Order: sequence, then C-alpha cells, then structure tokens
Amino acid sequence: MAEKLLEVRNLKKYFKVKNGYLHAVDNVNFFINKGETLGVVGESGCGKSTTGRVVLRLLEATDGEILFEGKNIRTFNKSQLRDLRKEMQIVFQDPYASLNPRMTVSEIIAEPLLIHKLVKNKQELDKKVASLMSTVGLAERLYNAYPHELDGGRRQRIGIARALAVNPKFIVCDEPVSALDVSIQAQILNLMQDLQEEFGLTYMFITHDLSVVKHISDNIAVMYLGQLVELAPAKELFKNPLHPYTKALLSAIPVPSIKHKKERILLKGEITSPINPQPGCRFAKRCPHATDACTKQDSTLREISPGHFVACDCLEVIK
Amino acid sequence: MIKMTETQASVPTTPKKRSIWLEVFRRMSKNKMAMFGLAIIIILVLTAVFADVIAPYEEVAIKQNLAQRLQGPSAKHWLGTDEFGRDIFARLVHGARVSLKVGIVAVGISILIGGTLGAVAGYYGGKIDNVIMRAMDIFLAIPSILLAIAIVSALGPSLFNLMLAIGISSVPSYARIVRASVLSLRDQEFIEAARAIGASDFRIVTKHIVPNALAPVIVQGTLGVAGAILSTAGLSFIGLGIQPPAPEWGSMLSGGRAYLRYAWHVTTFPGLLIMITILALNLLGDGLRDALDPKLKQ
Repeated sequence: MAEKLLEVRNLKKYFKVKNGYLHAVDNVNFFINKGETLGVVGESGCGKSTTGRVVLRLLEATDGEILFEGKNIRTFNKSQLRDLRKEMQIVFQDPYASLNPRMTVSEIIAEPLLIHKLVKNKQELDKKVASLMSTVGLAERLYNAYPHELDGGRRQRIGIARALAVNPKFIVCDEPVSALDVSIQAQILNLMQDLQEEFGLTYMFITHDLSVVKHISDNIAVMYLGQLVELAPAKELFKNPLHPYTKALLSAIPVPSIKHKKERILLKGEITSPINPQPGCRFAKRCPHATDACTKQDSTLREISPGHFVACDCLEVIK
Repeated sequence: MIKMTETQASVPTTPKKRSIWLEVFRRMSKNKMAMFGLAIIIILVLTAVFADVIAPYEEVAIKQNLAQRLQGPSAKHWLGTDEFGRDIFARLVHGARVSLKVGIVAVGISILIGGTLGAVAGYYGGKIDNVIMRAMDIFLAIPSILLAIAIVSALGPSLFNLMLAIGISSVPSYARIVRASVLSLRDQEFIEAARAIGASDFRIVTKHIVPNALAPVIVQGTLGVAGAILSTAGLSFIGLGIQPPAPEWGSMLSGGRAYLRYAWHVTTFPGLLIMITILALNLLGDGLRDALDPKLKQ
C-alpha cells in the first residue's frame, strides 16, 4: 500500500453565525497517498473549499486531527507553521483575485522565495524566477508585466508558479480551472498533471466539475453539506456509485450524444440548513430512499469494498 | 501530453518594469482640468521654493515703509502695498511657503496617524476595531476647526503647533478611508495567498494591503491639502495661526479687512490666491480620483 501523505480525522469546522453555528465541515475523514490526487466534489456551499483551507491551516479547525507526514499539524506553533508552508501550498480559484494587482509577475513569483530565504542573492533569485516561469509556460517577456495585462490562463500559471516556488509536496487546488475558458482549462489541467509527474506532487483537487475530476483524480471524495458521503477510486465511483446523492450527481453529467437517453435523477426538496443541523443523515430530506431511521441518527462512513467508503445506513435496503 | 508554452517566447528583451504611477499620470494627462490644476500647483511650489530669489524676505516682505502704505497696484508694486507699506506680491510669494508647508505637513501627519489607526482597525477587526473607530467617531463629532482652535490655544500659536492641530483634526477621515479599503482588501484571495506562502502580518499589511489602499488616500490627501490651507488661513485670520510680521495668506486677508472700502487690493489678492490654490488642488484631486479608478481603464 502506498504511503499516506495526508490524513484527516474527524475534521470539524464550525462558523459562528447570528443564530447558531454553521457546520461547514462536519466530521470529515479521508487520506491522500503520496503522489496521488484526491478529487473533492460537491455542490457550492458544501464545504469543499473550507476543507481545503482548514487542511492548510489558513482557517483554524474547530476539532479533529490533520496528519501531514504523520504529524498532527493542528498543534504546530508559528515557526513550525512557517516551515510547513514550504511543504503545503494552494492554487486559488479566481486568478483575477488571487494576484496582487500592484505587483509584477516576477515580484509575485519571487515573494515566497524571499519570505523563506530560499535564495542567497539577486542573481540567484532572477534565475530561479525565470526557471519557474518557464516550468509553468510563461514567456520571459512577461517578467515585468502586471497581472491585469494577462488573460486568465496566464494568470493561473502565475498562481501555480507561486505555489511551486517553495518546492511543496502537497498542493490544494481550489477549483483552479473553474474560472477559465474550456480550452484554457485543458491547458492548465495538462500543465498540472505534467507538474505532478515531474515533481511527484500530491494534489487535493477541489472542484464542482465532474468531468474535470474524473480526468485528474486517483480517488474521489463526494461531499454534501459539510459531510463526506462517498470516497472511492475514480473509476469505481463512476462505475459503481453507491450513495443516492452520488448517483444523482453523476446522472447530471451531460453526455454529448443526441441518441443517448439518460435517466436523470431529479432531486426534490430543500437543502437542509447547515446552521445547527438536526441529527440524522444530511441528505435525508431530499433522498428518494429515506426512511424514518435516516432522520434519527447520523450515518457513518463504512468501507463497502476495498477503498470504497460510503456514508449511508440504508444502503442494503436501496439495493 | 501537450505542454503549452508561449509562442512569442523568442522576443529577446524583457520590457522594463513600468511604474503604475506613470500609467496613472498618462491617464490623467488626458484630463485638461486636472492638468490645469497640476500646472498651478507646480507654479506655486516653484514660487515657494524660489521665494527668496523672486523677492528678498527681509527688505521687501517684512520691512515696513509707512510712506508707501495702501498704494494701489503699480509698476513698482505689482499688486500694491498693504497697511504697513509692504509689497503685497512679495508677501504672497513668501506666504506660499507657509501655506504649502502647513498644507503638506498637516496632511502628512493625518495620513500617518489616521492611516495607521485605520489599517490596524481594519486588519485586526473585532474589539480593536471597535475601540479605535469609536474614538474616531468622538473626534468626528467635534467640528474640526473648533478642535484645531482648541489644540492651538492649548499649545500656543506656532507654526508646528498649527500643523499639528490641523493634522490631528482631520485624522478621523483618513482612519475611516483606510479602514474601509483595508476591510475590502482583507478578504481578497491575494491576501490569503500571501498568508499561504508564509508572509507575516507585517509583510501582508505593508506589501499587499497598503499599496492597494493608497489610491483613495492620495485623492483625499490632495483635497485635504486644500482644506488645511484654508484652515491655516482661517486660524491666522482670527489670530491663532502664523504670527505677524511673517506673511501668511489668511493673516494678510485679516489685516486688510479694515481698509476694505478704500484699499480693495489688500484683501482681494490674497483672497484670490487662496481661492485659486484651493480650486487647483480640488481639480487635481478629482483628476487623480478618476485616473486611479481601475474601472475607468481606457
């Protein structure tokens, strides 16, 4: 079995809101093996991005353990955290908002190198920045350009170069292609796969685009309202989805064929409020198979077949 | 797998880093009113710098000559003489020194104090924000000219106290402006990105937040210089500002008001100059505001 790089146990992140606590991430468990990609999917507001940020400690978790290379990083102090930033990086969703408009391309890429004092002098810095730019496919002439002069794809390349600058092992990709044109999406996805091969990177790839996640992931985690409902190898998940929510989600992928008649599972009912949720399966209100028992107690994540985890208590009934 | 690279990568030289401020100037240069304002400000600054060359201070601007008092404009005294026979043109030239100095230093003081307080309040939020901003609200409830009068009367009238008083009295407006822009910047992704690469709070504030929050402060500062000059003139008019015989626009205005009926020029010219300066600064400020707004990109 491959070595686990990151493992998350009972992770919780609650936000205090006016009338209670918003359970953004509620009791999430998963792990990512070294060199692999975990795709995290789910509808907007289900806590995918929050999970990514909590894992990086950009947000502090409410409870749970985050084990990176076996060490619980939730207990890290400031200087340990600073060193951890060299290991774990993030690529953001919106390449228009994630780059400082007053800094040039080279200044943005050089910043992590300067913060962690990874270069000794100006020449070395210039050389390193130039090599990073060529790694992500940015032309040398853009060295002193400002982000607003570039298109979305090139900006996202800057974001990737900035993340790569510190030579990380693990990168959280928070919907890195959803703000881009379809043609550019492919370029960026290919670039990210190439980089993964070249540097042996491990990705946590957050997206709501199922075709993207299928293309890039080894394992896929499906989230619903802050909880993990299904975790399985990518192929297995698409071939044999078990959780009713996953089934509905997969049935929504458009198939580019006129003859193809696919039965879409349409979900009825309203999304349960994530603020002070009642015990019971979060999906019960919309689930076509829900029973009384589902609304009474939380469903637990079980391993159905090797590597395939599902959080649904009435799985046997559905079959 | 295809690795996409830039097609124009063969261009040999990388362009020089262009300053954002040069870009702003280029955009502003299309605005005629703003350039008019800028021209007047430049002339005033040059006048202030070379005041001693234009008119010697001791002999012309200060020395009284009662035989020539209250003369109208002539070839010898372009703008006439005041009630002590001093050349009004020369006094206006030297007054520019005081006015510009007070205007710039006072605004500098308020930007420094107000900007720091606003940045701290906006960045840390919560209790710190509440304490700072409520204190600012209390300040705002006092009319700023009244506050300036109170500070000057407490500390005694001197050039530095004047600058300090005017500066402090406009601290709250800068604190509010900076806090508002910091608040909107704080949740931007590039700030989070900076935190993700391990940047310290200090670095985030100085390298990422302040440069992006500067534009509205510069606009307000330009308009603020006009306000400070006006306040100086006002305080000098009531005798709390620059003390005679030093030439200052406001005190010149005040000195001439007794002779308004038969020597119109004594008050008219300082008044006109104050008006033109304020107008120029306001035009420049408006032009800067438009040029700094990225949404108006041409």
